[in-house]
Amino acid sequence: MAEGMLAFAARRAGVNALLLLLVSLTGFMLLHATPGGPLAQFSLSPGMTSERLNQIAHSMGLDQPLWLQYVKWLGGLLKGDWGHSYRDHAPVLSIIISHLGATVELGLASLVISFLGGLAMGLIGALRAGEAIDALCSLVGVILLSLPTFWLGLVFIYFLSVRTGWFPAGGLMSPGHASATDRLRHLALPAMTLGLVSIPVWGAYIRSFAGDTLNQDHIRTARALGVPGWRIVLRRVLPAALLPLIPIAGVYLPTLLSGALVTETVFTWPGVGRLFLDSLQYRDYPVALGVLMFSAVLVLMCSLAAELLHHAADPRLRT
Amino acid sequence: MTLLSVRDLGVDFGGPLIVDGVSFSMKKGEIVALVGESGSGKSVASLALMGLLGRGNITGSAMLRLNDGRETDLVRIGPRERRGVLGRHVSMIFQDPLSSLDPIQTIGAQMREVLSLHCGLRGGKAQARAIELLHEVGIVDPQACLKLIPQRLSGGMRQRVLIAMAIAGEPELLLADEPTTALDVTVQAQVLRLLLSLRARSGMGMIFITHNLAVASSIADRVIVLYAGQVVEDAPADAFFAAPAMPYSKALLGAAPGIDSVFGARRLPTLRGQVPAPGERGVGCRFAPRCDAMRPTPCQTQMPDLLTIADGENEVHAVRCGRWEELAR
Amino acid sequence: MKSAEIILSIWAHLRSLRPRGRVAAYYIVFVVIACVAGPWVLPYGHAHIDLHHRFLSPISAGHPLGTDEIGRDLLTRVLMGGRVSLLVGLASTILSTVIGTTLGLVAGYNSGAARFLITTIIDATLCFPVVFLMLTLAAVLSPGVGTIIGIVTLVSWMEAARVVQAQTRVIRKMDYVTAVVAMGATDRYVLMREVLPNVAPAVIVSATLTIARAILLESYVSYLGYGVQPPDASWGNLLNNAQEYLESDPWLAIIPGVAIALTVTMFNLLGESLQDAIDPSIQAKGRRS
Repeated sequence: MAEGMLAFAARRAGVNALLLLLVSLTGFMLLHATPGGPLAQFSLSPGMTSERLNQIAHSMGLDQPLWLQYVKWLGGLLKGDWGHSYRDHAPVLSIIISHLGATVELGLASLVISFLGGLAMGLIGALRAGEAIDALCSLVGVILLSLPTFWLGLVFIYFLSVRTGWFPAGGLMSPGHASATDRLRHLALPAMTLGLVSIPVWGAYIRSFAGDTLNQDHIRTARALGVPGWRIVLRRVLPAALLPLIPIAGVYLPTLLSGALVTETVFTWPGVGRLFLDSLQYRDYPVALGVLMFSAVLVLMCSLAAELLHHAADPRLRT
Repeated sequence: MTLLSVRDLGVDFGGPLIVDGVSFSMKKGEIVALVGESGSGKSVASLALMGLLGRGNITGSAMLRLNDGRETDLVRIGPRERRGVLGRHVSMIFQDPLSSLDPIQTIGAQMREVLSLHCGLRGGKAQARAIELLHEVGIVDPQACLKLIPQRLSGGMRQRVLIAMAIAGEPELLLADEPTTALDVTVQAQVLRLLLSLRARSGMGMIFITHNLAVASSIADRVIVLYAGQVVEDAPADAFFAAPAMPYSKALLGAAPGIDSVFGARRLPTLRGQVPAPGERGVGCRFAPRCDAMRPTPCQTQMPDLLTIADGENEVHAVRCGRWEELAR
Repeated sequence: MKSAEIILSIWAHLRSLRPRGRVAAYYIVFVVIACVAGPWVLPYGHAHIDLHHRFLSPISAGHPLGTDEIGRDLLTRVLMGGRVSLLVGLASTILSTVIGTTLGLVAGYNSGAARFLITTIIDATLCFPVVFLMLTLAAVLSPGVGTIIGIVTLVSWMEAARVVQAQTRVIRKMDYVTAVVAMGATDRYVLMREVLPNVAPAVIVSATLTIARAILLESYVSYLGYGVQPPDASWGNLLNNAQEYLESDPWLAIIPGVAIALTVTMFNLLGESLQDAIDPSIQAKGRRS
């Protein structure tokens, strides 16, 4: 059993390495193909001479052949040297890590909201399958899925901040006093925005998995033996519906980054998404490329970890 | 003493009756085989008794006499009361043992759940009782079995586990819906022997639903034949297999010559045509279109009643056929 | 002829849609007509600036949805924006459906190198968070409607490819396909006559859902300033600077957002209903209790 899992992990790790190579090549090529290339930021600054530009290019190794630059950059990546920001010369990796906390905070809070919402919606739908409330849940799900994140954020800001003053409109905390309640109040709107639009993702899966389980023979057996309904839901339906969510969570968690980018922009939340957008705007390519690689690694690690965890947790996969 | 008395049980799903006025009664410790082709309503009737249909309209009554002398109507009781009856007084096992156990929990967890529900046993006591039960149903290494998830067991083993769970609450009545159909023939015989020995030990009554007359002949004390939702023959097993009165029963038996028991050789019955769909029944005898002994009158004009044709020492023999007397000659 | 049969079967499916699917279909037809014809009917050009009538509230005289920060009629802007958003949605969906279906057929029909290559490309593309990838591409390329169509296509084709690949693999193993191959049918014949008609319904469903997603993705990129550039309007870029005026003039943000949310919802509802109509087993499952 363990050997099978080990082989599986090893094969996946191999495929993942190949994928990362492709991703890094693509990202590298893309950003070097931009108008002005990696030097754009410098060439646009006032009083720049071509002589000085060549100097900069030479000092950064940009006059070398592209393939050599790529190999050097890739080697650096592997050693943990992700290059330096054009803006403040800080190491890329530490910039990313310093922005990671805010994104993780936002991601986790929205995850709790979306998961609990999805759980409620999915279970209601499955237990009342075919009834009006099931149709209502699926309609609400489609609507939530169709809302543009940034617009929902703006609506929340207008109604819950501008009009009522209940919550701050943006930022991580009020300058000066960083109490826990202050941080939570700042977190509320962005987390709700990102959480609400993700509810139907969980809702649809839980509805489907729980519905499948409810139709299985062993549920009928449990009823025939007098097991109460709540106990059937708690002990049989819920575990059966939640276990297959693990690999889906592995795929889903990284996609949270996309939503986080938009949400962070609306709420001026200093996370990785904002960092990426800012670095694109300032043509700070080492940082942009770094974030791109970082997110790709995250995608692959999450899905691998989730699949291994699923293997370990779900007895149905071990026949 | 009467254990269960079903009177005029009817089930419909908003259309014609799927189960149409089924009446029978059974004594304590009796094994009744409910026999019929698919579409005869035998499974629907048993699920209706258990309250497991989930939808549909159920009429009539089914009085169950509990060991403590109380009587309860399986058709009328509310959901809360039913939970107190299911597993403790009436249990049911099903056709497909492969899918009837929760694939996520170990056998032990599933057995302990039932034991805590019906016997109030927890911890070590529940464990000990679970081992005892598994031993009783013929599982060789109960301790190891409790730690396994169902997927690790063979079909026959799983059916034994399900039987152990069903008898955990020491019910007075066990409904078994084709419990051996999905099993290999040799395993089938083992499970039937197990059920017979359990009945001998505990005096539990059993309704055994099957389409297989060989299986019925090897386990039943009495045979009730269902056709198109109705009881068409109700007879002691000896009388039924020796001299069935209903042409349908004759056809079933005649199509399987040398029927003896599953322990010996057997052949599947074949019969021309099929059971009429609930919406396509005529006014007369529902078997008439497939019956070799059919006469336009009375067979196609009048629905025959279920007539008692022999009534010796509580062993009633009843048949639903307008021409049974002529045919018996 | 097969294509006639396909069209007939689509028509039959449309007629058998659930009520909410039919409502969605009517709404979509309505919105398309409004966006195409509306700007011609309305008296203002979409770039008509009227500094005397800035920030008019909705239901103002002559401006049913009010005006923006430089006095342009918001209804006209929304309809013009709708043209672009719908165009981007439709064009990128057609492109990604064609690309995805082709690659899916190839990957599903062949085993070995071709399938490995295509599935690897799919997996590699899925490694990037969508919005990150789109913004990177947008930063590289010069902005415009054509560019945004290309970008949305690049991040959308995988869905159709995966659906078609999975279905093709199933159909290829069917006995009747084996029989046709045994009788000497060419790959081309099998793909066009046996596989394609069978995957068509799934492709149509995935395309409907892709339009919804494409409209949403365009709005993200344009909202972030990397998509359709002013003075051209799209539903996303109408919101681009609406945040500045949120406090005083919230409708500038709310109205275009409603247009996006409603239209995307309707495409999703249509897709969902088509799925139900095409696969009755899902419906049956839903009805069982």
